[in-house]
Amino acid sequence: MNAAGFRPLSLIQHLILWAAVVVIVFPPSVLVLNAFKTKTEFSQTSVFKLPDNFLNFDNFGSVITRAHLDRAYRNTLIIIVAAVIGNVLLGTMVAYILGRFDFKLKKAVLGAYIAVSFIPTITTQVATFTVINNLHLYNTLWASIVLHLGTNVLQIFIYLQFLRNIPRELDEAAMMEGASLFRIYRTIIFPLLTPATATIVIIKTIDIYNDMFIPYLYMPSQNLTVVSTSLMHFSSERSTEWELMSAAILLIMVPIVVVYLFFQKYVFAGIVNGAVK
Amino acid sequence: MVNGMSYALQKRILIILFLLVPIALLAVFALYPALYLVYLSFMSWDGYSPDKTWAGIGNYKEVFANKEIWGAFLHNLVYLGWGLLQNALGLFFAIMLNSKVKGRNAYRVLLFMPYIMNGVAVAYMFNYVFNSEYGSFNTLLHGIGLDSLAISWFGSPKAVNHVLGFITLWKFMGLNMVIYLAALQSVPSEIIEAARMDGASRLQTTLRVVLPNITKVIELNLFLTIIGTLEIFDLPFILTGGGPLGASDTFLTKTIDTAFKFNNFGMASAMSVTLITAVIVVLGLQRLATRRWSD
Amino acid sequence: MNKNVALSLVMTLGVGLLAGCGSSNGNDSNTNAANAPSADAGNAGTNANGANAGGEADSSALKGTITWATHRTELVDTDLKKYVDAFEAKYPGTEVKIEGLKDYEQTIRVRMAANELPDVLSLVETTKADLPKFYEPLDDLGLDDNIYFKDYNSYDGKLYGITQQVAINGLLYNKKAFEKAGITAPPKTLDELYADADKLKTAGIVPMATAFKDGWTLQYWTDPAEFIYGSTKLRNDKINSDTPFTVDGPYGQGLGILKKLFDSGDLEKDVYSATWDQTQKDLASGKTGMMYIGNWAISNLLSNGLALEDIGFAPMPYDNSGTVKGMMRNDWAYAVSSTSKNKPLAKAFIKFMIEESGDYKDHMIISPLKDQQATLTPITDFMAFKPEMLEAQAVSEDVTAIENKMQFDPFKFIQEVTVNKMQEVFDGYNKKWQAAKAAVGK
Repeated sequence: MNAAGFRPLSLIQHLILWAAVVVIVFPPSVLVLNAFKTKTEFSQTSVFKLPDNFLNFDNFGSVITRAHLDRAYRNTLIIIVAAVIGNVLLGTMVAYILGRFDFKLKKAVLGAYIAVSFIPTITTQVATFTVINNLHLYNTLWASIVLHLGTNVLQIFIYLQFLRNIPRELDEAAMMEGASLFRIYRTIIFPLLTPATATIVIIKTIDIYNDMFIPYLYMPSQNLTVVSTSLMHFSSERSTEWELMSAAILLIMVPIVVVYLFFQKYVFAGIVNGAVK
Repeated sequence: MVNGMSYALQKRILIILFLLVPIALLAVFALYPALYLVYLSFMSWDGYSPDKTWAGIGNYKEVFANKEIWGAFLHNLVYLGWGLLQNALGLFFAIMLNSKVKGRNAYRVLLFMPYIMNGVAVAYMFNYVFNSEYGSFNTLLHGIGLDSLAISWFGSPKAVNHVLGFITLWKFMGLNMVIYLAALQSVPSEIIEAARMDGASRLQTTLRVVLPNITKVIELNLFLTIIGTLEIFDLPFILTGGGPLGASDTFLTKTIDTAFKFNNFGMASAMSVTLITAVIVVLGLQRLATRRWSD
Repeated sequence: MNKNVALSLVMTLGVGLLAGCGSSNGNDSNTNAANAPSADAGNAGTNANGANAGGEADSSALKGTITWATHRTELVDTDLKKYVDAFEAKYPGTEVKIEGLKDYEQTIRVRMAANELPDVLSLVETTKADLPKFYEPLDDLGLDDNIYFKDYNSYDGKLYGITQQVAINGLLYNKKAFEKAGITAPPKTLDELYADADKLKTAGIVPMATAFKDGWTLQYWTDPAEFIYGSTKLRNDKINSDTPFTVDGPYGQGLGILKKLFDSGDLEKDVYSATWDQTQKDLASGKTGMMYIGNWAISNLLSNGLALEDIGFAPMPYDNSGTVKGMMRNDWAYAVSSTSKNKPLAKAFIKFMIEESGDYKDHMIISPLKDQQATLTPITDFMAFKPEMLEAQAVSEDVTAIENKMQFDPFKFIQEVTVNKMQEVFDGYNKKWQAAKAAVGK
């Protein structure tokens, strides 16, 4: 492409992209401006005015204590660690079976995973609740862990795509040496799926962090609030104190955005790697 | 120990062992609740009492006879409109970022960012953007002299669904974009170069060479959008509660009301089954249509 | 280079992500307090000193842990915690775990279906015949003859729930705002009400707050309809008619007051954005003049910084006769789950909350105990108008069945009547009422 004819177009491109970025950044940046304001400052100044002091972390401190965010972060972290580890194990196991072996019910298994993805989970809660309750998981962190443990169609397909790129010759060579199938899974398949696992870990972490419905319904105890439910509780009392709510929203949003920015490479890796190979 | 077993036997054992837990989880937490939903849709049940009575197709009859439910369904169509725009924008930005524009990675990261944000936090955030009196958007409008445009965004029955539709676009456009982008990157560059050599313009190349190569992904994205718009729930639930006067009710908020406000779980289940069926029908129709188109 | 791999990967990635966001993000909060009239109220009145009545002798036997689910989420970490601490101090070896639930009713209903109710809770209504299935009789607390609204949650001669407070509905106003508008006394007739509204408007004050968007705050506006009807049976008596909603009947006249205020621009400027959260502040600051609501809201104004002597509370005029009526309503009721594993402790806790906690005094609300009525200045002021007091009645089973069948949302009904053409709204509701009534077979 020749550079001469390209420049004006490129300028327009950047203008359009900048416009999109502004639309995306506008709402959170207003929060940033106001989360650092004091109550009187907020009520007396425009929402667009810079705060007097960007080091005024009072609102954040007050939100953390009043919404018990420390506890919420801890609960969320426990759920994420437990569920993600289990989920990755189960996901790779299912993918290994579906990707490497033929058996009668293979299509049925895959079909079942696809079918359930059409069902809005909120509509089936009465039955799910009964199950959770009968398993005595109600009002324990396990409720959330178990409900996030299962693998889903997304993960299975990501893994299957990567699995297809792992040459079967590797399996066969190992078999020649007498390795068991389990050993092949453990020493060849699982490690070679790592790039896909990285993507899945990030996506799953985001999912769990953002989930509000499961903790809300299954873990009502005050000691078990997670970040999203703590925001909900907090908003029920403070929805008119915008400077506090701004801080609260930011405290919920920022950790996951940081994780995303650090690991964005992996978020896109599944897609891009798959595309390049 | 395993080494002594034949691979055929090992395979059997492994299939069972490895699928046992995942299938159990699937069955208990997804399949069973789904079947229970279908069962409930034929029952008359208030949602809490131990007694359920057989209702036959009575619940379904009631669903189809209820005008308000289908009125709410029309609101879903507003979201669909915004969803289509969201797709178009996603494709547009994907094409743009697929060229060698400077800083494309940064743009991609930023445009995708809303998708990873906590949905509840996003909802509350927009509550402050669109608040009629104190919201930043109306403040902005007043600031640039467009006072007449500064309406009550969540309070106007005409505007409310569009505002909510815009918020979904804001949150999900990046997802569409990233999916399109990945698809575009998979279009072999030789084809594109060949077309350019033949003297096709960029636009022509895009329309005639690139897009036909990614029909499957366009189909996927449309499908995602359609499911998303048919099943939209959390935004109206958090932000408007279906108001003003039901102007932002959607099929799913109506379903939840039917179950919990009016204690009619049978009918609510029938509504859910109807919705799921609609999703499957739409998916089928769309497959049929795109198959014909790509042939 | 494998295009199909890439494509299908991308496809499935997308499907999964969407399935994830479409469903699992699902439900969130409902910012509007569930229909809790008293979501913010405690109950109050008096500190029962006669605590040593009935079943408390064997207090040493009280041990163990119970869970208490409450709709009063905003007090969970503060006042309610204080009461629980006091209870635990009084009965060493006991523990009460508080669960503050948003969307209280919906959450509890799901738990009812799974038979997993907390030990102590705010009673969620069922059909009367189902009360014994979910709740434990409370007759042995010995309060039966001493409480208001006993019949509300009784079945077959047994008591299953004790209202957490008695609420009196009235015109709650900011005396300073009235003063600023040149109003010296609260309105005694409808004409005075409208005239006062005009004065407030002229003074740049929003005359009447409704918290319209939240809906539940509007429910009290059917009180005038019942005053006009002369009885709180109005809602239940609908059963006798195929067209219960008429413009010149009680509903039309009663709700007509709110409608007239709306039509003359006396409500919030943007009613669809008006929330209870904001309303409390505006009433306290004098930005808004008055509101028709329960006496429990007084504590909200106090906590928003309005002094007690600046809070006015008076009966709401419903015609021009100059005689007034007042409405007493029940609130959420304390109940014990029938599946509770520690019923004695659960009951002792309810008794403690009602008789000793200090809840009533702290929140300036009225105790459900007839012999524990403390003097609350606003209530005394209210009673000085010598209103004829009416007591709210439970909605009958048949009417509930029909209303559920027609998907009657009382809050939305009032909202629609207020902003739309009354005749058209009534016609629509009459039609649905008639059809549902026929379908239910009553």
